[in-house]
Amino acid sequence: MNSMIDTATRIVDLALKKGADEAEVFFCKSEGKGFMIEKNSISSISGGVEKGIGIRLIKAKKIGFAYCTEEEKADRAIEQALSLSKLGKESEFSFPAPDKTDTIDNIYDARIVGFTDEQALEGISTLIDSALEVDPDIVISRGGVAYGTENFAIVNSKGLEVEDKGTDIHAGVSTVLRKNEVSTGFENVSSRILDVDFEAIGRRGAELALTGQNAKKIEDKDMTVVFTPYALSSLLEFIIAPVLIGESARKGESVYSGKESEVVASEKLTIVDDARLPGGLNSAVVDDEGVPSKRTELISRGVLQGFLYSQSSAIEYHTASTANAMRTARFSSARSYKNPPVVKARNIYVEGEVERVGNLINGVDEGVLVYEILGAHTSNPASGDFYVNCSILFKLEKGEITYPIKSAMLGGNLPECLKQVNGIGNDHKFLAGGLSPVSFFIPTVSLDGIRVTG
Amino acid sequence: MANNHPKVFCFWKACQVDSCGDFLEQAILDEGIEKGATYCDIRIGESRGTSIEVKDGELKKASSGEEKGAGIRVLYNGAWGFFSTNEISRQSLRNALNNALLSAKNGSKLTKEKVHLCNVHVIKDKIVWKPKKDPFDIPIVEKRKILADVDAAIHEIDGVHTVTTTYTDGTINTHFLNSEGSDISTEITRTMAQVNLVAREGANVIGYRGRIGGTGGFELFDMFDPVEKGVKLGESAVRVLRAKRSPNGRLPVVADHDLTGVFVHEALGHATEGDLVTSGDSVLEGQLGKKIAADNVTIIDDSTIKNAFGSFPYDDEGVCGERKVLIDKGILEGYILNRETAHKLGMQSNGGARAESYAARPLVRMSNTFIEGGDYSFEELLEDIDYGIYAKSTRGGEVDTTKGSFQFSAQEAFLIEKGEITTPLKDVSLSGDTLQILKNIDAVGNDFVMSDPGFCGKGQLVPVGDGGPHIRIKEAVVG
Repeated sequence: MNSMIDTATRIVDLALKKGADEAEVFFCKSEGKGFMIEKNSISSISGGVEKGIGIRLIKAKKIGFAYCTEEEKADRAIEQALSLSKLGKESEFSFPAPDKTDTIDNIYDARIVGFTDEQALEGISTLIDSALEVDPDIVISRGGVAYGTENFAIVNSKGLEVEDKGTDIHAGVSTVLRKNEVSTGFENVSSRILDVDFEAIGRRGAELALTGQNAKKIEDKDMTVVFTPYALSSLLEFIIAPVLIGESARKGESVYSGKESEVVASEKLTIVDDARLPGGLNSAVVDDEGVPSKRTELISRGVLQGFLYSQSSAIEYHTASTANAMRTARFSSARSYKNPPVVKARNIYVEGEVERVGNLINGVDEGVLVYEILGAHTSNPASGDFYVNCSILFKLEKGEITYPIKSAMLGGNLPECLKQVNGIGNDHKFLAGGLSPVSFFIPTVSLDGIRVTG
Repeated sequence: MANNHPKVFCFWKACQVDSCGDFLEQAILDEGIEKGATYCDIRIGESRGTSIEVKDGELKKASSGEEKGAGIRVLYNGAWGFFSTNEISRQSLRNALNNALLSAKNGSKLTKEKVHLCNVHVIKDKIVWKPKKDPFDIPIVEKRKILADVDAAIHEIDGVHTVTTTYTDGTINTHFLNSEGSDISTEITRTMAQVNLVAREGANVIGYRGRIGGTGGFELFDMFDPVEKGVKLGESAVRVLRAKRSPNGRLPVVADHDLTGVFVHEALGHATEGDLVTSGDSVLEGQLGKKIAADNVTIIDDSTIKNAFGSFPYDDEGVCGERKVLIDKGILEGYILNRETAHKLGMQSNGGARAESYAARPLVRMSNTFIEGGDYSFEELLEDIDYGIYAKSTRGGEVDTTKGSFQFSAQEAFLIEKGEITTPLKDVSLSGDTLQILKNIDAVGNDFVMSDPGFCGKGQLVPVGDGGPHIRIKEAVVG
């Protein structure tokens, strides 16, 4: 591992030699494997290795950035970054100084590093068999297992030298059952350690499709919506996560702007960004510019506490970095060395007075239990308005799940809905984002204030 | 829209045998076959690009870089293996090959249906889509000036609160070789600018966004004026800010070209992707030859359109890009296919295999998907509507192709009352059912426009285009 720090250090030194006043190198190496399932069968096995270097430098108080894939190309990248720095405006930005870091549990599992094709294929066999046991007509139309390892090192000219490594594994299925009609189901699981229950994934994915048979239409009405974690994550990713970013909030870009210390949600709701969460999908000892990871309370019992910052936005708004710098690719949940850090929520954790999901359902006079939504990414984060289509949902009447629904649209304003929390479940699940690197550890949540259109 | 007949274009070039085969790449393919693969291909991708972001007049980000890598695919005993690396050395490529072979061997033990590939022509070709104004030659201050000008123009509009503009350019050079003898080099440049703005009045705040650009270079900003586009976005945003909420329920809708494009992409396009069709994930499975849309609906996916964002000369299996008729006057005529799905369906590949980069294996993807223009003028479309919605501009959509249900959003809308456009409305989303809504298109406008650059996600992101004329949907669920 020392060799990654050594490489990064050499490049920082080269940048300083070539005229940078300060420099930072982010060097990462990753490898991964993916098994794709189509129509109850393995359709392909893919793998890859990748390494990359992101170089940020400051010259005459201006910042430039460039990337390359190997040390031999760093010289040219440094020149590109120096040239780009001339474009910028002067700022007070300076790279973070070294600081104490603590290890985090459950983010690196040697069993994932050593996971063999045979083990993965055995798991997938189990997954497929358990789905077919639920109903022999079930088809896992698509699904997969993907796992990987990532090592990164960050070195800067202030003497910061840090490295970390992590593993992750994701498994999921989409199921289709064609009996009286077409019903669908799914199940997905993400983890930093090898604790995937393949049997449960196949079985749950199939059961959801089975219970979706004989679906009915419903009337248009305002009613309670109980969101399972996956459905909730879509809304949080595109509507709440973007507006918790300090720069955006401080510039008046959302309904949360200027509302620090005010009640913005139900007192049952506490939302935290915790990059130290054991097992958190984005947990690491530091953020992507080397600042030690923190737990930041965003909404505490309904009261807005603050927002998320990286080193540069913290300096601009005279506050401290909350260690939320992430290097990401466009519309991707993966990290990327090709971009300079931006502020993103890392692990969104919904806390509060939790209760059994059964209780949440029992408390519903009329509503719907929603598993999956389409179109959350088309929502308007500035206003908080959303109109999404639900493809897998069930009617709730007087505390019972009564029947599956063909499809429905849900519309509302999410910040307003979060003021009307009926209850928070205790079934927290790790979930990756769909089109951004944000991740979640969230339960089922019951909300009001939503119009359901059949 | 310019439309070279693709087959003629490609075969003419193919006559110039261009030995761009690198010994190393060929050696890797030969080794794969020696080790028992029935098919191998390798894609070496080299890319460079620049990206700038300006927010409220201030440069926030400027980044530049280069990358090179290879992805190797093998077919062994009817199963696929794939491995990629961004280290190009003999050792690293051999490791990648061995990993791909091992994966395929392991996979073949569990694969229930062996993969076969339809036949395709062996092609040796080199195509460079050189932009008229290569962004690589444009000084970065000029790139920044475009954003600064757009930013300044939008900020003039009362009600606009913050403006974030992004400029991105990229040139990708791909060298594709396969074990059948194909050897194709392509170079494509894409250039794009995006605006995300927030309009605010008191506690009332909304976001709005748009893009401009395509396949090509800086000449795209001569063809499509970014400042003009930016100002239109700003004006729309402020109109939406001050607008009333839309009525909801089942209503007739007239969609502009931007919304029509995303509608076609979500409602129909995905369901025609061969991999979804053959895995039981599409409502269009087994529907070829059936009438699934109204008579006036002809939907095309075409990867040969000059300057369109989703265009490419060859797909990532070395098959020539082409114009694919998906629906012809209401009848489902075709799917988008790669070699494997074409074989499963007893058809020919029509160049539908695309990978996000060398680091991903190709999947069946759309390119530029649109409805062809029809007969109605815009006024005629409105005439017959007593009470309905005119919906414009989009932030995208999403589809469940298995059930055929989809959602797409319009950033701006207006009431239509007795054939006239009246009250401005806030953003709306529309949803529907594929098999039903295509039959509900009861009028197609004559004003075809190819819309703005888009990105399609399906586990991997690819650039796409879409568009169409104004269309009238008899009934859609509006929320």
